[in-house]
Amino acid sequence: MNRIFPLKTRQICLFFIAFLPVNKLFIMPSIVAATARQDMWMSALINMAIDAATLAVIMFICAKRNIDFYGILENTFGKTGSKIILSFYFVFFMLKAVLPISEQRDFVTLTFYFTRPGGFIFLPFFLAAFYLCLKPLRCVGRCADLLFIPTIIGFVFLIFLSFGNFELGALLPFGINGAAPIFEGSYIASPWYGDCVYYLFFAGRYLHKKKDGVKILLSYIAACAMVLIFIVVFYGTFSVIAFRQRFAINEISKYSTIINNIGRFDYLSTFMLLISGVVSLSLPLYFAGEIMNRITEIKKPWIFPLIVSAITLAVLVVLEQYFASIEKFITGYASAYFILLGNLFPIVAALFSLKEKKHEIYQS
Amino acid sequence: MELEKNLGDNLAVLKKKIGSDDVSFMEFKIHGKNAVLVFVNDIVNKEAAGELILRPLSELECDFSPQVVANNIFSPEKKEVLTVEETIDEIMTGNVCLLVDGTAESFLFGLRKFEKRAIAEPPTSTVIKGPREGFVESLPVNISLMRRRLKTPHLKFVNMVVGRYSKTPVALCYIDGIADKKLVALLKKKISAIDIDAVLDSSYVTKFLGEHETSLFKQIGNTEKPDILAAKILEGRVAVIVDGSPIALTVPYLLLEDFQSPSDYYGSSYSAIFARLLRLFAVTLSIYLPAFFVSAELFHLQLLPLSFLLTIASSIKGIPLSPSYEMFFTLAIFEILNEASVRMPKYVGMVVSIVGGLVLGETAVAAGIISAPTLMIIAFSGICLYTVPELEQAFSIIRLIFLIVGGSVGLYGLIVASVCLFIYLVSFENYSTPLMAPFAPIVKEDLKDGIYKGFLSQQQKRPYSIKNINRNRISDKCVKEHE
Repeated sequence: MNRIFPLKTRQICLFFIAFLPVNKLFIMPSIVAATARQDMWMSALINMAIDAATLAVIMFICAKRNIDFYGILENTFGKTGSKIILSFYFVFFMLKAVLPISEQRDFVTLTFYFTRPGGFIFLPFFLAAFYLCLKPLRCVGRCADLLFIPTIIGFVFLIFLSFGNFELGALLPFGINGAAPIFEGSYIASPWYGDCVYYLFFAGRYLHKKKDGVKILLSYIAACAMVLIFIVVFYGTFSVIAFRQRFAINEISKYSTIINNIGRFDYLSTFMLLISGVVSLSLPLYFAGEIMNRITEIKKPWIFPLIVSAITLAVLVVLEQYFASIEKFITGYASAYFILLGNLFPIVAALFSLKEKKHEIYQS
Repeated sequence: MELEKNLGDNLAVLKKKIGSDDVSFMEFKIHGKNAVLVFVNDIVNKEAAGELILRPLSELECDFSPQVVANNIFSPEKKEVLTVEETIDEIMTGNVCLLVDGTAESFLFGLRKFEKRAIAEPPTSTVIKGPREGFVESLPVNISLMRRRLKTPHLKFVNMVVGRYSKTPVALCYIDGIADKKLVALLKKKISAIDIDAVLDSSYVTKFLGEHETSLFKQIGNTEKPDILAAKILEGRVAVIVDGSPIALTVPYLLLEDFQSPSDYYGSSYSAIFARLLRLFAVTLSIYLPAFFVSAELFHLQLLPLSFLLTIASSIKGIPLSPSYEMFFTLAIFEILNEASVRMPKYVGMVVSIVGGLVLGETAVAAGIISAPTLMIIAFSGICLYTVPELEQAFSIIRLIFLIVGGSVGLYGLIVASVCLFIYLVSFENYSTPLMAPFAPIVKEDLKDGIYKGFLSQQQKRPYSIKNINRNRISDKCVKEHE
């Protein structure tokens, strides 16, 4: 019997392009700029290279396998073992959600609602996130099918507006501060990366054909390249004061002559990116909810998406005062956790899948 | 209940069950034997009944037998029935019933004559170029219109009767060899399962065919034009034509269908692409413009260019209502005028347009109740919505929701609401067909007739979004010769 796959290769490619770059354009550039300065693009390049390599390894090992991540874990570690590992991934996704959501909340309230108190403005996001969490995976794929358009248009327009003020000289000379700040910047930025984990949850849920791996990898690199271009233009525009531009997406084009003439025209591209951003921010919650549904094997699949959304909301409301500490914690100690589960464990899991494959062949 | 041999008994039962002033029981003799013709007065061709049934039978010079009916009555539709219930059903649908003493069966002749409207251009889909024929309320006429368009034995009709009291004839229409057989069988099953008092219009059937009862959007396509219906069933869709309704239904439905107009196919590809882009842009503008304007006024003044901001500031000066109430109030007036102009008699409609549009609008602005930009935005939004009239109702509701969201939460609320709408649309499926196909999921082959309207050589295959069993629409040879 033909198996119906919820995703298509094209949707995975567009998923990376539509959703990966958006959340990296808010505060990540200014945070990395504070450490790596004009070499911040190298930090991003390292992250990109690590992620791309991880993705390539995972794909090479387990893409052709007709088994999903849950199956790999269950076959390797048993039911209980797989549940324990999945619970680590649940924490991973929850942590991955907190920082981008809180930064986007701050961005929205500080940038768009400075005339009014904007505390409750961000609440509808959680409705959208919860709503997405209720939908099957094919819905995420279909969202990618369409939302890559606003992402690309918004991004190109933003870069077009900013490019006039870009000075290459700000990025020169390369590596003057040594390798340490570059690697530190890369380490700090790791909570925003590690997106190859998503592929782990797509594996076995689409029909992998010849050359699909190359297509997926190229689209992943294209998504990372968008971030890289943004970072380069950002530092080239602001140079040594780049770290002071908290919300890079809002600041990068503010010197454009078009804006001087007709107002904040660049907000149109920001809105386009925010449309993809809402789905992008919901993705960690989506997979956190899916993992919990899988662990508990609950019959009412709406309960955990609701709980996950509520927990994130509660964290944001209760710990609003301590955002700086949260940011410090996540970009500091939690970065190791992100590297461990975002880059190292996926390769280990993929290797386990290889072992399983041999086992299957032997059995057959 | 079986018919009796005794004519008197049969007649008594029939008179009891269907006795009414418009039902005739015409008694006469066939070679000395008592006989009765039973029919409903106003739905039978009485002249034909006299010529084709009464005359040959009354002039008969031999004893009556069922063979006599076969040999002497030249009605194209003949049927013999053994039960009272079936006899009554046939009489009520406009057939003439012959009962003869000593025969335990009734003979039925199809001599229906209903008054019907002439074939005219449907008001809901007028075209500048292209056929102007529209369906009427008569199922046989509509079937004949389809037969005239598609003169092929592959065009199939499956007749059914629905409605406990209305006994409405419903026909399933498809092309054998193109339409998915499973879909035909499923629709047949669904329509047969409809058990309601009456089916007075095709919209009654729509409710039973839709898979999501609470859906805001249409789930079943519809058209009033035979040329469009022919084109749709040639793509693999299955049509449902209901007697008494000029609107034929089509399954499965894609949202894109309503952005396509018949004139797109009768003109050049360039004009079709332009028109489709315009429709998409107009609908987007119609939904977002009021909400965007209100949220910009309330929360995001920095979005507006300074000169525009000054113009708005001077026009809203002295307006007693807040921007969101003002927009809501103006939208309410617009919707009321819209509703009234649809319901009102035509001769009053003109007055309503003048009073509503000019006097009411102008006076409200002059009196300082609403501002000119608000009025202009609502009027423009209203006009834009009618570029896709089939979706007007759904989008009106969405516009209202967006206005409330924009007025209370601002632009971020609008973004989130748009994402929710988007998720809803992409996850929506009917008969295993995604509503947003060929855009989400992307069906590359079908994008050639999406917003972009491809040229002839690009339309070689039937749509992939709709299940069909024969993909080739234009032969390779034809395409090569054309090139």
